[in-house]
Amino acid sequence: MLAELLSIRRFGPYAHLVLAAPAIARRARPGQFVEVRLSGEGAPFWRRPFSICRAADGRVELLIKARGRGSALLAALGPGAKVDVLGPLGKGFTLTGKTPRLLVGGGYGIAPLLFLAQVLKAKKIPVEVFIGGRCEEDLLLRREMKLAGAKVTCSTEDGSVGFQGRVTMPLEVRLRQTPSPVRLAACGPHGLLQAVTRLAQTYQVPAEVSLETVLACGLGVCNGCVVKIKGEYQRVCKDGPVFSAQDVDWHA
Amino acid sequence: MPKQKPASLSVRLGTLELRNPVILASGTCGYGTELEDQVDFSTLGALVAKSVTLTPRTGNPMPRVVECAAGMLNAIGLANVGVEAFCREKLPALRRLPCAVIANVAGSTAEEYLKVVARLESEAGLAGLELNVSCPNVHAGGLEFGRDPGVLGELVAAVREITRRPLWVKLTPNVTDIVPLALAAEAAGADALTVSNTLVGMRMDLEHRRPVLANVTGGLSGPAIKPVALNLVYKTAGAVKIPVIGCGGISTASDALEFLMAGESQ
Repeated sequence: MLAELLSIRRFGPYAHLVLAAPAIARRARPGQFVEVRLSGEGAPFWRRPFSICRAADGRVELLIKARGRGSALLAALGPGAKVDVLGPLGKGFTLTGKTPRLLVGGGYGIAPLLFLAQVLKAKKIPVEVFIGGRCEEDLLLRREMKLAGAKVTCSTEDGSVGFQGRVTMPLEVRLRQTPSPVRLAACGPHGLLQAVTRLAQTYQVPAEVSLETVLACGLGVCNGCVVKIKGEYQRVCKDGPVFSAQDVDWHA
Repeated sequence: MPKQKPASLSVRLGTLELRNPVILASGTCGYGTELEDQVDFSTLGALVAKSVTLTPRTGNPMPRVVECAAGMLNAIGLANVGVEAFCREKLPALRRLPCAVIANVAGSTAEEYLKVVARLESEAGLAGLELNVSCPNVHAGGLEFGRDPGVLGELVAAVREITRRPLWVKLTPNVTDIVPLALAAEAAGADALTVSNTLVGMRMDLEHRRPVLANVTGGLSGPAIKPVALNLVYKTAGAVKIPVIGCGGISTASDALEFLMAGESQ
């Protein structure tokens, strides 16, 4: 569908887009994504996948990082632009149960976790969020997470804000000091997801991770985005992108 | 003004009549159900399901796909559930789609092709069969059947003997001259020829100094190959009497019209 870009806000390499997409907003679940077809000079052949950062009132919000041709073209659009969006796609995070959640986001990997935090809070499930980045600029959605009612802990690798080090450090402190039942949900770079998976194993808590990979079709047709899950290939775009962390074969 | 009757777009491929000439090529539409949210199948002439082999195949190691200028390379490696699961789990949903369904058969030996075709014979609801003799991404078979007119003719003739279903043969563009292969398939009893499959290509990963695809090479598809496929359709249609199904880089109505014209113009 063609969705009108209602607003766009840029900060550093990041951009926050608000699209008018009622059909997608109505059906979207936290952890799902959309595929955007870019047009114009140098537009890539494939659509580009972006996590849904928020979906309500007929609007779909994306938080993206301009890091290649596709995302740079999207980040350069102005209000009023018509954007070719397909979605919602994929399988999102588990929303059932009342167990408190610890959400872990690295960089723009925080995007789907805002949607998740909002939905969990609406179900009266306690939410704590761990946001990490290299520097302050990478700490995204801190204010929005607080407004959603989540307890927010930040970390930066350069120590400019919050804990100095990786985001798994304050997460481990939390898991060690308060050993009550929790569920983890993480999105971000591969190394972060692996580290979260290790912590989940050490502290015996269930964890879900949202995997990011190159997608060709995004619809489950081409089998080009498979990962090994419990020893068998599954499609990130259709069977995921959210998988149970312990099922992912990280070394396949 | 009198109301105009919509023009009939129906086409006849041997004994098979399709409501229009728009067909989703094998590999572009999975087993159909994956696209139910995106595609109105009642607008299509037919779909060709992804290749099915005798036994299940997990496919090639990752990475399997890479983007190119105006296209993509894939080296999926015929990942599929195998003919038994295809019949049990995929066919019921395929049969319910409101368009003709063609099964696409691949194998690494003639015997494998024949066993798959024989198994499909006991199933209703297939409008025809397409033989994949042109997959560039598997080491044994596939393309080997598609490059030698003698071997291809024998395979098509053997399959022809065990099925009365409409039989299409999907040819490869990765040959010096497609015409002898087209003629061999026609002489052996093919009802139509699909022209063509993907073009072999590769890309390098500059950072790691190695090919991007784990399989090294892959099949190029997308707008990049349309002019090549058009020329092959033009040549093939000029050489054979059976229908030719254009395939390769078609993404708009004008692309499709170009193929129809290329097939007519000889």
